[in-house]
Amino acid sequence: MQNYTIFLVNERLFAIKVNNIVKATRDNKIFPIPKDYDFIEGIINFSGSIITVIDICKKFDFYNNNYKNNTLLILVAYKNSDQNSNLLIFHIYKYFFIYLIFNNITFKMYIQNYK
Amino acid sequence: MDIVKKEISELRGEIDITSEKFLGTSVTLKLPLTLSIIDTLFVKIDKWQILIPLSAVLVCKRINLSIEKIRNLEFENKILSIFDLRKILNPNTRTEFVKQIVIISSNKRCFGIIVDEIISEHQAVIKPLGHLHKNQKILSGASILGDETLALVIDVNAIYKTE
Repeated sequence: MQNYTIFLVNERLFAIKVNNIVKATRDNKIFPIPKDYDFIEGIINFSGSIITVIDICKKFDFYNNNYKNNTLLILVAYKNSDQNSNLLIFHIYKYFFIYLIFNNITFKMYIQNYK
Repeated sequence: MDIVKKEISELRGEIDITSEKFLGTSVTLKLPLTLSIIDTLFVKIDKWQILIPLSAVLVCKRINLSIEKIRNLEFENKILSIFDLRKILNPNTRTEFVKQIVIISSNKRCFGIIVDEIISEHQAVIKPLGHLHKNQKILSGASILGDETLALVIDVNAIYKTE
């Protein structure tokens, strides 16, 4: 059994393996990048590293203007063949674990338990 | 040796020669450990904080003219092309009133770019933007400023190629 973080983005449910999540943050300022892909929201300064922020609504093509209020950035680490470890951020607009996050509890759950 | 000196200078290094009769000559080449720390000119354009490599900057000129009146600029008996960096970064906008022009000399080309405001000189550690920005031609990286905000480092040669 594996642990997953589950979150809602524009009424859709997503899950990311907990092992891949570095941090969930909400106070990083996003700096826009000119002339880039539409789904790239910009870059942030995360502890001295420059991290790309992706808007997964635009990436998966279900963009809706109504979800701009509650935003949370989930910092995801993943591996690909070129580099050992890359960092990537998804821009999450509605989050499922708001209660757990505000209580400083690691927000993870077993995906099987979700109803 | 002149060519070597020129190449070393371009890499911001130094060259030193000491010679002693009947003993020999020693040539010392000093090169920076990293090329990712560069002196830059910190400017603001629209919502972006931009760093222009100082090695490419010739002069900053203060001008108060509307954009229509300065298609070209005369500088040291040469007519220079002027690029509106705001329009290059965001094609939907353009500068209406020009206040500052930075004159750039790079790859034997000389041209001017319009900026909103010149802030200061800044020694920048350039960090790559990452593989998600592969199609990015104008920017060569980003740098973290003292107030932890990010500034974008532009590739001046790419500006010339955009037109």
